[in-house]
Amino acid sequence: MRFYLFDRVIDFIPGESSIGIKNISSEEDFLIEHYDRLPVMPSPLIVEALAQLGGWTITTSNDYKYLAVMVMIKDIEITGNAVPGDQLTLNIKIENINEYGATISAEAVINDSSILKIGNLTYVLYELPAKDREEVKVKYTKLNKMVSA
Amino acid sequence: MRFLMVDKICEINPGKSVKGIKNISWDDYFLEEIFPNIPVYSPVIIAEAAAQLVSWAIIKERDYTVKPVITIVDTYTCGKHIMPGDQLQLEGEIESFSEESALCNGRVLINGKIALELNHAVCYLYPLNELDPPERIKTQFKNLYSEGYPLPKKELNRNITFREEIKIRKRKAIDRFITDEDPEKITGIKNITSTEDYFNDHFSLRPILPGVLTIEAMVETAKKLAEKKLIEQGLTDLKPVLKNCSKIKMRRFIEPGDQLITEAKNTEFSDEKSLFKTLGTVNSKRAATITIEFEHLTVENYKKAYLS
Repeated sequence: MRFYLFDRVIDFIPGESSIGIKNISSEEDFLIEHYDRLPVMPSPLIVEALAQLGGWTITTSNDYKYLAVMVMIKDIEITGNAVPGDQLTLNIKIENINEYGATISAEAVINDSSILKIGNLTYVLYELPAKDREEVKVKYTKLNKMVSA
Repeated sequence: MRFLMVDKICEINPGKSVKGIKNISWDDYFLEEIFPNIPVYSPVIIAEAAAQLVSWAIIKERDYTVKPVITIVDTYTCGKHIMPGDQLQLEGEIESFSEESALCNGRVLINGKIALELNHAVCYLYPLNELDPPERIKTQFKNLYSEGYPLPKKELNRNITFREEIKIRKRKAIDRFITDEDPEKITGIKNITSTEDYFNDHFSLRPILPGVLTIEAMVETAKKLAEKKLIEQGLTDLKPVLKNCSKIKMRRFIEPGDQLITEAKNTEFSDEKSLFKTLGTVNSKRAATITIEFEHLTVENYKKAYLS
């Protein structure tokens, strides 16, 4: 399995917010054991999906100068499940950002109803060596499809 | 899992023809059971082996500047089904070339008999450096090609009894089915996501859903309706087995984040066979259309026709 837990970015306001999509397919490897008779996307992976998009949003907002690494999560509320065929909408809002770190709040939504909320996700920013910036930029730009939601 | 379906290239005449080998093992990702306890390699996905083989003859002819992407296939006929342990002979020929496209044929043979035939496939030639790094493709070819490597022998014993404890992973080509008010119609949803392993190779610089997986999704949707109709008519010992696909047209690339909506409409149904017209859409835009034919077989007839 590839560890890309969001498929595309459909809305992005630098330094403020982003909206992404994660499609859940029956063929995902994590559904083999979780669970055999009732396939459900593990909630920690939804947290990871939000964290990946959060990192993308921060790194893209600061023009690929810093790489965001998650260090702390607070206030997770799980209110629903994601099953194959669902399309998760990932909402990210940047609460605070400076050159050392950033905090965001995040929410995963299916068909307008929230299934997982994170009150506070904290990232530390590491400066990217200039030679790596272009590579990260190419990789990150590809995920940004900006199709109408 | 890798999405590389050719194990060895034995003979190659760039721009003309190519021959190769594909081995099927118990570890293969695309095994399925049409009848319980008879694991076979997906008859749809095996077409990718023939397609990938032909693509080498094109890539070599154009000196690693293009990669063929299949857009139209005239007919796609299934002969024999393939079991783990089988060694397949792959053959491909190129009928004609133009600047932007190529017309080719492909075959998969098992014990000298045709397992699958792809006729008049039109490939669009896409710039290679936008899909894969050319260096990576050059290395792949170097690893695959052994000149004069012997092709599979014709006499291979296929009289196999399977141990019951062997379990294969059940794949689901469609994530969700929606039944229609019209009993002759069914709709399916396939979510495309970045975590899928086949996006490592298809393609490393730009993930695109392999065409055979689009076809598989359409076949699966039609099959669901065929199975439902057989049960409704009390023919519970019969199962729909894919016989051929025709008029395959792929109209756009399908990428991670897309939702493929498949619709199948039954146009003909009898005890022996059924015919479906299918349409795949992404964001309400046409992505693919295929006409699919199944034959309805009992397990004994299936073994005689497809596994002998």
